[in-house]
Amino acid sequence: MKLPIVCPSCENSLRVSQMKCEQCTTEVNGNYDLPLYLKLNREEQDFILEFFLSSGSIKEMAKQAGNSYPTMRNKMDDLIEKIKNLKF
Amino acid sequence: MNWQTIFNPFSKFSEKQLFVFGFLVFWINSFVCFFTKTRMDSIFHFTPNENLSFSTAILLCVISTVSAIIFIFLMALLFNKKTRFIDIVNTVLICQAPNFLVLLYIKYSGMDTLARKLQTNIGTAPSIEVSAPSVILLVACILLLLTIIVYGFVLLYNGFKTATNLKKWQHTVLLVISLFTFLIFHQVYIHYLDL
Repeated sequence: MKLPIVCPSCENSLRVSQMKCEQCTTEVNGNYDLPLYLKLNREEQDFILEFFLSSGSIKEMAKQAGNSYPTMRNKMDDLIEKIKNLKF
Repeated sequence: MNWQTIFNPFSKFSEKQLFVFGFLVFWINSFVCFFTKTRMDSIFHFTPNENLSFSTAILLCVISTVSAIIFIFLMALLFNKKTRFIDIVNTVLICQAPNFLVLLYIKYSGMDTLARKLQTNIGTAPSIEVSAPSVILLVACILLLLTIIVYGFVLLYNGFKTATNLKKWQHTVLLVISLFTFLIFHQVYIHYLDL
């Protein structure tokens, strides 16, 4: 199941208010920020995962995706910019 | 084949594939320049020259292409320091692909002859009989040629955009102004080389 990261009503970022242990059913309530990785959309998360699985080689990723190296590097640069903005 | 392959091959193909194709295009353009007796003054600009030798035709193509690569690469570095030289080389080489079609078309479609006839009649009453269908055909041919030339510029823009991750419209405006200034400067400069 896909984890929603934005509110379906007003499109603001969602926060974590409840977590549950599957083993003992202990529930933790609070108001937690989503981890940075989860604030990215699915496509961006997949991109980072692909980058990790290809040992950090943009060239390899480009080959697998059937794109050119600069196209992949541009995607990476855009993502870096987005993460920087989310971080600060 | 989709629109990306036609209008922005730089986003799809590897630098090796693009370079091989671009290199081929460069030689085709050089040979066509020689056979059509046309000197390349700059990228996207050609002038007829009846006394053009084979070595001069190639030399002019080399000078025009290399200077365009250097200029566009410097522009690219201004926008994005991560720009790779090979991406700009491929952009300049491949954007010249439609040129040989234009040169061959002008030479062998009769437009060249018509232009010469009109040139010889400057100052006198035109002696060529022009019928309405031939004018329509001529206009259609000119529109087709313009489309091919614009396609070359689209390739240049898309290649540059892909190589530099160009996003700001101010950068696009600066690129267009600088490029046209450079092309005009180059046409004047190459004239003084007296090749």
